[in-house]
Amino acid sequence: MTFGRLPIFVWTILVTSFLAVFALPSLTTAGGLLLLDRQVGTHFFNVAQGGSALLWQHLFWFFGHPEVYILILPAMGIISEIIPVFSRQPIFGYKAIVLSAIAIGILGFTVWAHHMFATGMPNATLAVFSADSFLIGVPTGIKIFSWLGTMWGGKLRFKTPMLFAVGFVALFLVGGLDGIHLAVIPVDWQVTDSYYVVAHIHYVLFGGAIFGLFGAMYYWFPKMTGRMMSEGLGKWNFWLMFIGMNLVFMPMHVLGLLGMPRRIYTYGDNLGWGIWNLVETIGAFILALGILLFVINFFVSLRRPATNEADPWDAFTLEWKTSSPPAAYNFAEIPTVRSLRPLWDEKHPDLADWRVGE
Amino acid sequence: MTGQAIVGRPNADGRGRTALALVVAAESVFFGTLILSVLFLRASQTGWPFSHPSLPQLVVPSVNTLILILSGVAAWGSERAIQAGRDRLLKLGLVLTLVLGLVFIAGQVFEFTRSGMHPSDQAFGGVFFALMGFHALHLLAGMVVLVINLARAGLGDYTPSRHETISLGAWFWYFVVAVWLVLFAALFLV
Amino acid sequence: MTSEAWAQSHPNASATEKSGILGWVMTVDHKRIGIMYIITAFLFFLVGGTFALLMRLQLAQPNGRVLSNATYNEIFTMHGTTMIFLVVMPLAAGFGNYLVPLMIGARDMAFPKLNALGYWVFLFGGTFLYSSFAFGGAPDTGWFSYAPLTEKPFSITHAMDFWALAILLLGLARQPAPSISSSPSCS
Repeated sequence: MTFGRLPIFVWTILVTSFLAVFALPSLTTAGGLLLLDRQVGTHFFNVAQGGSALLWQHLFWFFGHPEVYILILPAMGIISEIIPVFSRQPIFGYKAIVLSAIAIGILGFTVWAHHMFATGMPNATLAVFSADSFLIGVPTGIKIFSWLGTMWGGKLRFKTPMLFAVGFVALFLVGGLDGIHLAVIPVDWQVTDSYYVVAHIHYVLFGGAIFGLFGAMYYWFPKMTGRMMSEGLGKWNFWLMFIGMNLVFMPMHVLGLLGMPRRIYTYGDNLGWGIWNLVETIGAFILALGILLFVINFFVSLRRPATNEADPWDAFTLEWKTSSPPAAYNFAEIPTVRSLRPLWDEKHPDLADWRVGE
Repeated sequence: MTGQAIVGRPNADGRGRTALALVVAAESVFFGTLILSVLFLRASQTGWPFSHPSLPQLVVPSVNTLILILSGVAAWGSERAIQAGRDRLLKLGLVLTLVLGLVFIAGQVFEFTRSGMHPSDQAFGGVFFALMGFHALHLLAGMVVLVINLARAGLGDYTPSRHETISLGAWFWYFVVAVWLVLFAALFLV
Repeated sequence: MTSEAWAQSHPNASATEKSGILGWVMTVDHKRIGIMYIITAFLFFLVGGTFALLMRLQLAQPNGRVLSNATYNEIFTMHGTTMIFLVVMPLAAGFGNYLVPLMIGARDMAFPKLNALGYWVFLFGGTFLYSSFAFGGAPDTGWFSYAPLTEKPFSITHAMDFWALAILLLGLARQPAPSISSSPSCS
């Protein structure tokens, strides 16, 4: 195994780990100083005594922005594992995806003040952070092209993990575009702290991270338990979540543009917001029903007799070489890896990836 | 690359050093954000309520800094000692590092109380308190490691070819000393 | 190294985990730790999701009366804090724990005990945060807790101290564990 043959999920976990090492200490500082202010009586964030409220925002968002990449990168890695297997093709643009993950990690540290556009920072600062926030859309776009390129011309099997993976691509795209809108300063000034932002974060975090993680649960459940999850329930689960999710969060774009602020506990009945909120609540319960189906699916599937199939999806990476579930020691003999798809190589020695170009 | 540890030599594949490097990276960001917070507060005030300490007032902190540097030298000495197989010098070095570290902390407490500052004195008192306090906490953590190392040295655990945790403990100590040098500059000289 | 040579140099190693609850509580096996992360995180997901449903019920109509203003503030703060720190991050940590050693052909993470400690600190931190409901109220200033709203004259209950301490615990101790554990095992 070399770095150039690591599965993309491993790469995204690696980048996420580095992001965590460098970003979380800023939160530690913020939290630590807050505790000192509250318990010891220091004045870090207390303007009247020489502190600065803006300091909290800088410290928090210096952590907060890399944090959102910590939240999304593993899910991007997950679907980079699922899509090739269910398209029967190797990932399109391995180097591009890896380099874009690293780029997102590094650039992620340079855009934090885009959470603070409305705080009165000087124009030059605003311009720099706005430009950088546009820039960070590029590596993400590269990834979307890679995933689509992987599917192009492939033999697609739309099992439940693949449904969640494709759902991720569509929903994350919407959320990502929302983010680009917010990078435009005048737009941000209009919709900051409104439901437009809530729409954005939920499309990327729910449609993105959570959908990716649900895909992971369906995909790796057989490996962890030796049984498959029900496909029928899985499809119902997916579609209820997908429809519910869009019903909840799409109207929030409208509400944001209509001026509904976030974090308000109620609103008047003369604003025209009622109908959208009602639709969203209905959507939320549809979404909840979908999640309930997942829980049911989980328990129903656990009660099935174990088939202990090592490689039920006909996959490419090493974890599918072990038994389902794997032995405590994982591998009796450490395997030798000659390409990106070691299991494919083993199952198809004549078509092995490392033979390509021979 | 096969992901196996070499049996019988737990740190031979350098994983301890990688781990320490990551810890040092994270703590550097922590202290970095602390220092930047101080500079930010300074830049956002029209009159930072504090002028450079004049030379006599710098005496105690400077002496204290020298003591801490000496403790770093003692840590280095302990590492060299075990590399040469001198077990008693190893223990002496560790004890000296610990003692000098304790003297440093005592000096910090003395300096802070003598100055009459209080953490709730405007932003500056809090700054001083926080910076010195967090640094002292890291020093204490380093001392816990040194004490464990000392106990293991007492049990004869270390040999010239096998003393990884001595090196790791020493490197963490150098890091904490280096952080103090930066803090000293940020608090007293800039 | 072949499995025979490995078995010879580890005469006390067993090929299976201890059975029963104790086996899970004492495990340092990355697969079990991964599963514990995933299950615990999913339970927090259901709690955070319930909070979301409560919010949606409150907002379904104008002048809603499902939640009071103070409770609503606690609910949206805990919803955000839970989903970010107690759901998505641990779910990713769980899958990372389970899969990374398997995907690279390794036997476990680089620091199995530190890895296990990471899970228990997560569980403790999450429980600690939620205990605030029982001790004078949950944090209610949003998941990014802007100062000075979070400072003493404006937030007098202990809620913010619970938030700050929980965040410190979850960040400080959980972050080195997965990151330190995963990187070296690639070598």
